[in-house]
Amino acid sequence: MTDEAMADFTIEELREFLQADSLEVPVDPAFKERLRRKLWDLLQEQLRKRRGDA
Amino acid sequence: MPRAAAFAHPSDRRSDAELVDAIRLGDASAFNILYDRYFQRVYHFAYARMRNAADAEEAAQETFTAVFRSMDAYRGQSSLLSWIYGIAKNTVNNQIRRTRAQEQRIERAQGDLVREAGHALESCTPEERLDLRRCAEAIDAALSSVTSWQAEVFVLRHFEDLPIQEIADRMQRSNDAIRSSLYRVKRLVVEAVDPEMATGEA
Repeated sequence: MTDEAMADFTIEELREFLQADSLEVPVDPAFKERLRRKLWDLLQEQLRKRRGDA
Repeated sequence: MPRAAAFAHPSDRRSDAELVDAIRLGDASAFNILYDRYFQRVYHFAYARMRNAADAEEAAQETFTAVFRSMDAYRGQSSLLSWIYGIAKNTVNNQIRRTRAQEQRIERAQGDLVREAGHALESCTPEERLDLRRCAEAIDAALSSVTSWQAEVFVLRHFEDLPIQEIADRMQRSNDAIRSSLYRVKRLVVEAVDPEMATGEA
């Protein structure tokens, strides 16, 4: 769901989402960095396409 | 590729909207800040719902890919926080539904495996029975130790005889990802049944 108008949730749910900041769940740092690289590549590709279209 | 430590700075107080504008222009530091600001929320939210690191990683990847892929379409009608949360919630719910359906299929396949092994055992020598039992147990253990989608791939290929391409289409993954997943499960089975063969293969 990426449509802004489709956002359907309660304040409590949003609060739960924000509270995730304080949870102590181990995250694989390698995964986080791998995903960072993938997303950056995705953004770069989109930027190149946009510039190519312009 | 920008690295978080090199660009993102905790004292950067740019708002989400300012970061989105900068990201659209290709600003690496803005990208890093936004990613670091939301990664933990998305990952922990997914983990809290699914209680499994592999599933949480898959959900985080799917959520962020959707977020950044559609960032150009984001018009600021809702806050970025609620927009990302909406995507994360939808992604996690879909994944939980998929996982449940996959688990049911896998349970059925494992039941079939036990029944088939039972029929086969009737006409086997004691040595063959032992081998068959070890194989069945190894497959069962391998399927339990990998992610649900990997187990599903194995079931579709080896129990339902679907071709790789059809599995890839159904699972919305590349052919290479399907082959790699099949290889991983097979390797786990071989390691359990015949560790020497597994070492020789490596």
